[in-house]
Amino acid sequence: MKKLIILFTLLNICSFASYAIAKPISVIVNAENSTESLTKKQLIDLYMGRFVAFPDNQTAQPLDTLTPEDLRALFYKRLVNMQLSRVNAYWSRVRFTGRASPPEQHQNEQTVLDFITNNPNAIGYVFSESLTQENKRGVKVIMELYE
Amino acid sequence: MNKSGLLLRLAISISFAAVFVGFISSQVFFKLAYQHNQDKTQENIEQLYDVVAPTANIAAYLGDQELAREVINGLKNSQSIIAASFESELFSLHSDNFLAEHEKQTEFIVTSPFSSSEKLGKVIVQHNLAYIEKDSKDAASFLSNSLLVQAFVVTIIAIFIAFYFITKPILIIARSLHSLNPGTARRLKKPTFHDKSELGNLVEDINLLLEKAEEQLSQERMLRSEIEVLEKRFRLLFENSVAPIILMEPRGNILLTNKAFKSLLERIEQPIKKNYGPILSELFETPELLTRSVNSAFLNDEIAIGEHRLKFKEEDKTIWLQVVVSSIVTDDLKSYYQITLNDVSKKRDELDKLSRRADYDALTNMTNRHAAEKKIDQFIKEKTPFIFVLMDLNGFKQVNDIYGHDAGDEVLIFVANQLKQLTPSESIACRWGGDEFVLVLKDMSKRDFEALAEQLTTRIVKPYTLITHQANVRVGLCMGAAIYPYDSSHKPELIHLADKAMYAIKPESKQKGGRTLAFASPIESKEHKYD
Repeated sequence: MKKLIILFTLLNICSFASYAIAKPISVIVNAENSTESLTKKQLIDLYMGRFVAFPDNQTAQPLDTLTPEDLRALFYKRLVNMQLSRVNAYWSRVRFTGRASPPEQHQNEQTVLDFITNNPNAIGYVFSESLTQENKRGVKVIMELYE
Repeated sequence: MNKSGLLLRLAISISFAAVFVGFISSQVFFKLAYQHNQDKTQENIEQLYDVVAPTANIAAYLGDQELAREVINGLKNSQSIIAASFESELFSLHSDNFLAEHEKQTEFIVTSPFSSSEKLGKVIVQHNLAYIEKDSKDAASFLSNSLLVQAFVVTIIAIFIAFYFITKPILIIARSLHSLNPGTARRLKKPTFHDKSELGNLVEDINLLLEKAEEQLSQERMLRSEIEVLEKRFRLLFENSVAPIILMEPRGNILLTNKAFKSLLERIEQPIKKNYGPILSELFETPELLTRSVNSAFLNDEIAIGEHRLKFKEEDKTIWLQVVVSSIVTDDLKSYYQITLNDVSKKRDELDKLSRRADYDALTNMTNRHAAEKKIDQFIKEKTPFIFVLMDLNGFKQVNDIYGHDAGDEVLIFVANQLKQLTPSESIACRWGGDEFVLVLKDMSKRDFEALAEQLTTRIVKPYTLITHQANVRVGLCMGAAIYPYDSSHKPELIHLADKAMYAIKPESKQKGGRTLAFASPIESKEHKYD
């Protein structure tokens, strides 16, 4: 019985640890954007350049966030289950024909938040924990990506 | 090179086998290579598609025709692929030579790059069968060519080996065997390196055979020489036989004759023929008798022997032949007649002479006493009347004494001739013995006899010139006669009476002009007892 209790405790610790690493990522749009939610497929099509538009056919401008460092990697990992190198390779292939272009790259979460606040067509992502009462005033979270 | 020589045969056989094996194996190899190439092509294409799959997925995902064309071109660059098509929800592309129907094609499912379960289209790749076939053919022909080269090399090596290890030694053996005469002491030599090989054994066997042949030949030679000697002797015997010998078939075809037979034919002036009828019957006077006697002898399993007269005569002399016929049956059941002829004419003559001698006197060639007595018996038996005359010469003893027996014989012959000449044909003149003669005069009257007696006396008493001595001699005679059946009907009595009468007159007859004939007196005879 004692052993069993120890095992359960260990399991709990593990799950807690992973949870701690897997910080949720929030997909955000301009607060005035009519889109309330997106399916994962719709988000993939948007970010991978297939249909660069919201469900209401409003043009969308996806944004990449370069810092914090692991944000982008985690985002693509959770979105299409790909390493960044592969995502880059994908874009290098697509860019060759010029038919689609990769998301616009922004330096950090704050600039992304600012850009979306000022741009109703933009769509971006930040760690959910980075959102504060102040900085999420001009945006709305339409999706959260977990591990 | 010999058309049916071992080497050529070997070369042809190996070449044929090589070509055959090459053909079959290239066929099989082509099939295998084709299958293999197809499998390999399939694999290649799959590998190739793996390379272009991400691009294809992206192209389908984004509906990017440029990218899709890239994919098709990339695929088409491979030799294994002749055409390709790309169909997706947004577009449909295919290369120029894409066929609606193709024997061999592979379909790949194009999915989303981000979700492998999401099907976005398909890529169809058509295999380059011509290339696969050509490739397979090239591989197969390479194989068959190399097999051909190998076969050629193997053939050359095989011929070389066969020539040096088999054909050449065989040729050497054959050549020495060819020049070798069986029966000689020469033997074959084993070829080098073949002491213990099959060829060596062959040579040993041949030598063994040669040895046997030599033995047999020498034996045969000895036998043959013996036979030759024997044959020569037989030939000598046969050819020089005095008796004609003939070998013939039962039907009369002559197979073999000797010189004697030919000379017999010459003697009777007959042509030489192949057939004179069965058992030479044409030559004989009584052919039926001949054949009958021969057949009956053969029926009794005997050798037929008989004496037969030839139809033809030699200088009017009859030729008697003893004919000996024996039947010969050979081992192969063929029947032949062997006929031997013996000239028995001489024997016959001698026999005749012998029977003559029994009845005739050798010196005077007149009937002798024995024959005369037989004749008298016959006359008496037939009751034929005759006069029995007994005659004795006077002075014969003196001639014999003075001039010898030759002269005596001459006188006797002279007297006999006179008697023979004057005696009638049915009557008999006979030398009774010594200088005594007898006349048996058949059916003659007393008077006729007296005339005859006178005539006889005249002839005999006249001087006679001895040829041997050139001298004249003179003999006298006296005769005593008895008449049958008048004087007596018994022969001894008749002789006795005549004898008595002759001795009664003898003294008178010796005188010149005296009577020389006296008749028997019956009365006297009756008184006299004779034996």
